[in-house]
Amino acid sequence: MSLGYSSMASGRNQAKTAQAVGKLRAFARTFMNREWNQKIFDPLSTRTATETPFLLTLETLDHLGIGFVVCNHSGQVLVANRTAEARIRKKDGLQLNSRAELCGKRKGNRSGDPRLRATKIVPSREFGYGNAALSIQRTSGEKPLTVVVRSIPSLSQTAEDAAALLLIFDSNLPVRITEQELKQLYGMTTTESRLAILLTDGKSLDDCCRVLDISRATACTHLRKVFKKTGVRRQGELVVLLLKSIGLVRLGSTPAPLSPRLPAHFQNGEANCEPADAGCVAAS
Amino acid sequence: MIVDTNVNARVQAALRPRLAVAKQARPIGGLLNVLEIAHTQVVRPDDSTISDLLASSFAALDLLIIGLAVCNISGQVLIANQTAQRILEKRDGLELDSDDVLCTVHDCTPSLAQLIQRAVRSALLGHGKLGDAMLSVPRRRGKRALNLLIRAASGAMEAECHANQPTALVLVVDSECPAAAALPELRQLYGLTSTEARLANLLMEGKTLAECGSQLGIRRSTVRMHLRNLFAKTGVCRQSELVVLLLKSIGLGPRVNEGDVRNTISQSLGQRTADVE
Repeated sequence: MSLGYSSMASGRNQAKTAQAVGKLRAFARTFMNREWNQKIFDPLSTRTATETPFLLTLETLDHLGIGFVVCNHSGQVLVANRTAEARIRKKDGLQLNSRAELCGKRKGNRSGDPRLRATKIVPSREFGYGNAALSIQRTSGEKPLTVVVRSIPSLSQTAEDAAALLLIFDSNLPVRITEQELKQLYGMTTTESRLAILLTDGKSLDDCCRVLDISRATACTHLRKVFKKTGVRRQGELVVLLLKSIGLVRLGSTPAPLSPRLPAHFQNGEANCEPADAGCVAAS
Repeated sequence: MIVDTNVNARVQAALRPRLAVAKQARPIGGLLNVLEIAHTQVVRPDDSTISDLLASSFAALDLLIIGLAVCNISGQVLIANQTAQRILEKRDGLELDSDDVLCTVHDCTPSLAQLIQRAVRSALLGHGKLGDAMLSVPRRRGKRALNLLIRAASGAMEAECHANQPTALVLVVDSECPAAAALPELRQLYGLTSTEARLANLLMEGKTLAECGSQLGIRRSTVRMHLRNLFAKTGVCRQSELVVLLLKSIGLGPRVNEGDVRNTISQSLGQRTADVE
């Protein structure tokens, strides 16, 4: 059974680990000024101190269907989460050039021109890269991607360092609100929640009538009940409320189910959990 | 320096899925490169690369208008982004108890702790998404309820699942929080004029055209003209479609500072007084 890193490290390594943990804490304080962060930067386990928070934040963004990319000064991709990787590999709008730099087709004034040139998304260092939001045209003709660029203040200033943070939003992602959720949250009936879901999808009331196979008068009755249950007065308000309250969380596909690996103490009762923890403490 | 093979193997196991993806997509040379660096960093952790990456991934989470909290199995908050921290600081609906455990101010059934446990356990049994739960948390003073989505994180799958392992993800949505985008970014994105960008922001908040007109201090016919321009520039043909597009493509983040929102409001107020004069 493997124990925490510090239990196996020599004295010299332990000092180094402590130094690194201190550095990470300082960084975390800058961004999340809270004492509870100390828990994840537990010096007893280097594993949680280094890659776990990082991988976890990437995973969180995957859950939300947002692409996350870190580029260096020349626009080369250093890290991408799964959502962003999928976008880049699709080569629909965003792609990498031969130097592994992230490129996109930017919407310019000549949007009618079919030969829009591919442009590097992160401009080179000399031009500066402030905060920006870009609209990236897609080759498939779907609605453009939104890329939000933020510069990263880095301590070391070499060309290979992380320089810009990119968030990729895709407005084509379907909103997956389930009837069950609307029932749980607002106490809607099945038809009411179906109607609300269709409206949130951007359908007009007439479209909804056709899909649900109900008359317009019935749809209006359902809509009035939905208004009453959610506390809004207008259709537009309802769409905004539902999109903001559930839709944004449910945007895009959920990540592929992870293969379950049952931890030992779930199979053999809770007892097995303790020796590992005890070993860690004893070794330190 | 002595490299511990055991630790090495564990780190490789943690990074393997991403490395595999990087190898398939050959062009992402940079990604592979840095993951290899990151991998050596864990053995030799006194370099700043991984902390830079960590800092930028936190910065990414802080840009979102959705509150995110990562909890362990007993509901203790391990990571929270700025939006979640603000919601927790207000102690309206959600709060932290003395042990940093996430809990609701008013009791609700099933409780938050039960839902977290259920999500983690169903993930362990391989049911995945079935354990996801939505919870509506009431707030005081007639404010709209906070909506919570509880989901198991991949930490729930770890073989060495100890008590402090991050296992659950709680997404908190405050539907009253304005989904406004920063004006310069809206203008840059679709090539909007400043009035069009302000109109877009007001529409994202669910305002009617009449309300937008009075807020911006312009006549109804002028609002309609701006709306037509917005349709043309974003490539949609209905108002609700426009709202959905804007919310999906920029409404989720980047978060606008309160100062910026105030700026927007004072700008529109300034415009109105100018019109009156």
